[in-house]
Amino acid sequence: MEETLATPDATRRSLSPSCSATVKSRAAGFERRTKRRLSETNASVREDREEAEEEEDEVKEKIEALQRIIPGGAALGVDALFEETAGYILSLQCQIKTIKVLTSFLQRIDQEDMKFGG
Amino acid sequence: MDLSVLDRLKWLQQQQMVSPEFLQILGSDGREELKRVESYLGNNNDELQSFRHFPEFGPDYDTTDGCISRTSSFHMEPVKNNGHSRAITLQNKRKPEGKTEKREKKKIKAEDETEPSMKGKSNMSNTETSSEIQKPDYIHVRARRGEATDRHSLAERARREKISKKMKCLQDIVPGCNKVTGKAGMLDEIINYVQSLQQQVEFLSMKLSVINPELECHIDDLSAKQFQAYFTGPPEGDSKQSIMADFRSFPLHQQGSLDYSVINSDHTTSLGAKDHTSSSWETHSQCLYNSLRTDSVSNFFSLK
Repeated sequence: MEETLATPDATRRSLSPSCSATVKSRAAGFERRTKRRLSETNASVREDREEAEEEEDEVKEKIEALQRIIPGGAALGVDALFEETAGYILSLQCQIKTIKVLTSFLQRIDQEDMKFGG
Repeated sequence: MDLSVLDRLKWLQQQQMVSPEFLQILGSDGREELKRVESYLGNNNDELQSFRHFPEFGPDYDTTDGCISRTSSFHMEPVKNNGHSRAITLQNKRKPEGKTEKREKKKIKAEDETEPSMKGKSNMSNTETSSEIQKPDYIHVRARRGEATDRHSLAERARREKISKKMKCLQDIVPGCNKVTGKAGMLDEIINYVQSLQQQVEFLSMKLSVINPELECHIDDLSAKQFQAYFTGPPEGDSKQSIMADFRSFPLHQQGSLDYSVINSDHTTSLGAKDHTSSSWETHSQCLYNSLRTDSVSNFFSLK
């Protein structure tokens, strides 16, 4: 009688802690997995944001440099700045051509004067 | 046989009711065990008293009641009495006990089976809740993206298109920008090119400033010659001197100019004062247009 009655108690005691342990371990693992995935996604997002921010910072610095170089460029936005840069570059190119032509003309005149004078 | 079957059923019912008490007894002390045994006997007596009202089982019931009440004495009596009827009753008692044990085992197994199933259900509920927790975040993020594309993203795209077009124009203007990739690199090339152009402009403007005083000298020479021509015009007495100056300058000119001088000399000898005046003006104009301005000026001053 005692042996037959004791067996169910033993089975109950043995099953209950194992079942509870398995449940807890499963829950903990699931939580850990979710946390890892979330942390990984957050890290990747942060890296992408950092890279984008660095590029944007570089571009902003160079835009500011253009604003300094071009006359009247400090108060302009990106679109207007690019237009002004294009116009300014073309005007500088024209100035260079005109000055080269003048210098060549004057040099020729000087040469002729030297020839006839000598 | 009918009586034995009924008795068995009664015993089964009684033992089913008593099963938790047995479990408690096992866990408790000796005194508590004895007390519970007495309570067990008391309960049995009460249940049996309920059956006394049945008239059919009157005489047999009395005998069974005596047997149950004297269980302890029965263990001692068989040595003395050796009755067949008593032995049969003992056998009947033993069999139902075995059956009750089997049923108890089945119940225990059923309970064990139910518990893990319940735990499994709890696991499923946990997984469902966790999945539900994840889904709304994901959907929420996507919804925001959709809204952004619908409204703000279009404006951003338009800006980017404008900027890209203007960047292409600058690439066409600046020589080295086609090879570079990336906004930062292109901006660097543009900045360097603009600075180089500015430097060239400054350098060339310095060259002009160096050459400018020569231009001023030339202008001064022209104005001086005009003044001299105006001064030499009115005096008629000096016409010979002016002719002599022109004559000296002629050999440096080409043959055409020499022929012209011969013609002038003939006219002067043949005609009067009017011819002299016309010839003198022509010679002065030739002097002005000639490239040898300095020589003519020096000769004029030397004659005076």
